[in-house]
Amino acid sequence: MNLNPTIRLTYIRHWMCVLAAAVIAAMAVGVPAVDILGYFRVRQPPLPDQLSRLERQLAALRQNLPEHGAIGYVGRHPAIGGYGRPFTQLQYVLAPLVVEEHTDHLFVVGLFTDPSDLEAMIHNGEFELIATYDPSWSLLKRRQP
Amino acid sequence: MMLFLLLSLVMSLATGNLVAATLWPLPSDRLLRELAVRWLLAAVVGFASASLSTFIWLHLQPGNLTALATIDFLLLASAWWWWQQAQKPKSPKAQKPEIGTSQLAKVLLGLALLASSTAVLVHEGLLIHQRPHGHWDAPAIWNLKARFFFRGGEYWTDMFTSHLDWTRPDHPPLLPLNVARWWQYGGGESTLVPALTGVALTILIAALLGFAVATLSTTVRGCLAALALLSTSFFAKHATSQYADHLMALLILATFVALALARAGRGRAGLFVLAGFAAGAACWAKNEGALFFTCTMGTVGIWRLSSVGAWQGGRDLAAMLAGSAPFLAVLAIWKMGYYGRNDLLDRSFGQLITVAVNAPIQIHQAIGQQFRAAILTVPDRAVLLALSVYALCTGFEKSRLGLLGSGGVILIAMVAAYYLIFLTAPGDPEALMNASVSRLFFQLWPTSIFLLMANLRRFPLRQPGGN
Repeated sequence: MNLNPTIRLTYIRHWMCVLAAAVIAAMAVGVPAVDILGYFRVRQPPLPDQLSRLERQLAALRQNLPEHGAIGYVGRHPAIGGYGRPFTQLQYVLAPLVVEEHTDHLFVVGLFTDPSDLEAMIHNGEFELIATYDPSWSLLKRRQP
Repeated sequence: MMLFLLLSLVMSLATGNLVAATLWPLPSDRLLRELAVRWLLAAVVGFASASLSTFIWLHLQPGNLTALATIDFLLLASAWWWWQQAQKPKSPKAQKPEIGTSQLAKVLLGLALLASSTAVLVHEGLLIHQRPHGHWDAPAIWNLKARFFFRGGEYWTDMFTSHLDWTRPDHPPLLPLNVARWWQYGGGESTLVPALTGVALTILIAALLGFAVATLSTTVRGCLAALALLSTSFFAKHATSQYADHLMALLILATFVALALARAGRGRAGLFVLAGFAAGAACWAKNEGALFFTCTMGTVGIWRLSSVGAWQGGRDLAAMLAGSAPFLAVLAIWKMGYYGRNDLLDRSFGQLITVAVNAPIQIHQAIGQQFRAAILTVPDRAVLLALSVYALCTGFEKSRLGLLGSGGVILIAMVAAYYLIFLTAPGDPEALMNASVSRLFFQLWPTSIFLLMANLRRFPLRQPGGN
């Protein structure tokens, strides 16, 4: 078929556009499909949702605290930086209470992964233990002078 | 309580529709896709204005549902009154026939769109199931703010204590205000509310992009634009992070859609107000919004003043400023009345320039590498190549080069501003870039597709000489 160069160029452009459109359509279906397969192919089970678990664990704690104001926090946490720290997660769970990372408050919430830390704090005489929550959380109240 | 939640949604959407219909009255023989674009812009208006009424409520009677509903009803009544005042007899206009679209292409692309959007929604559902509270910034910043608004009552301002500086209290609250509002109407907290907000934003962005391109160009290109966005893996994944980046992407896109429609002569002044509304709402959604607003006003100002003269250009700019005014006002209250500290802006302009000029070459190299990686990973490479081939084979509409150029300048100015921020940021710039470069580029991605696809020449997607 003899076509003049202008018409031939138009044909080429047309089919290049069709090809580009086909690639976009195929990728639009393929990429999310691969993402879904990737979700199920992960060999290890997905990480447990830490925040939902913490909210369940500390549901009773909220009832023992004032509705607003500030409380203290003490605890040794695993080597997690940034927003993954238990302290930041506790702030999210207890909002609108403001959680401050020191013990100069009437109520102090502690994460004691080592029970001897909790015992030392109680034996110090400054705080009394109000309640403990699964697995290592405790609520302490400053003794009145 | 579901009834109240539905009522809240209906009131927001009705307010948005009345405002959009007043600012952009369509002729009686409007195209369905034009109506769809207006509905989608109305949803943006409704979403953004709902945050304003919630902010007012926080200052009057926080925690009281009746007070919130009353403010919403007053806002709706005002929008209805304004719409009534603006009613004019509608004149029909000649519709442009759509050229170069075969039915087969439409059907095939429609099927691809259906399959792709279903897959994206399923993927988002799985991610929400896995991570109902979103990614780290959601509980630390965005949803934490929503909890203070909802649970705090009159003590919601406790969030501004210096002990919570790490929660970025200066971040504007458009998204958390809406989440708190739906919790208030729904009668309790549910992780589904912020999660489904992310899903709704996904749908809104893809739909607005597709229908806007279809309105300004062709249906096939509208489908292709939406498909190009849906092929972006980051788009689906990040929606479930419950951050404000999808909201920013939507507001940036809505600004450009309104500007492009105004340029196309579809109800000029009102659409400039809508563009200003969306750009102003971007300031109220994220700190980067102020950057976007400044770049947009400057560039659009130069474009309009140089293309239509001082009088008309000045009117267009004034219309945009009027649209953005409510958000600039509440942002001023937020920044000056509650919390204006920002570690990026603690230094003077002169100090920032000194830091930028004296920055070691390694930082420039690191920023360059991060930007290149983001450009090549946020959009899928094959899709980026296919879009480039499509654009090269088609060419751009000469009459739209002004809008395309202005849009391109705004996007490049945004990227340049991000570059300066990373150059001058205190602390570890590498950590800041790792956390934010992809998200910043994603905010501009839907608009980049829109600018590309809406301004292409009308090249028939069928064999030359065929029917």
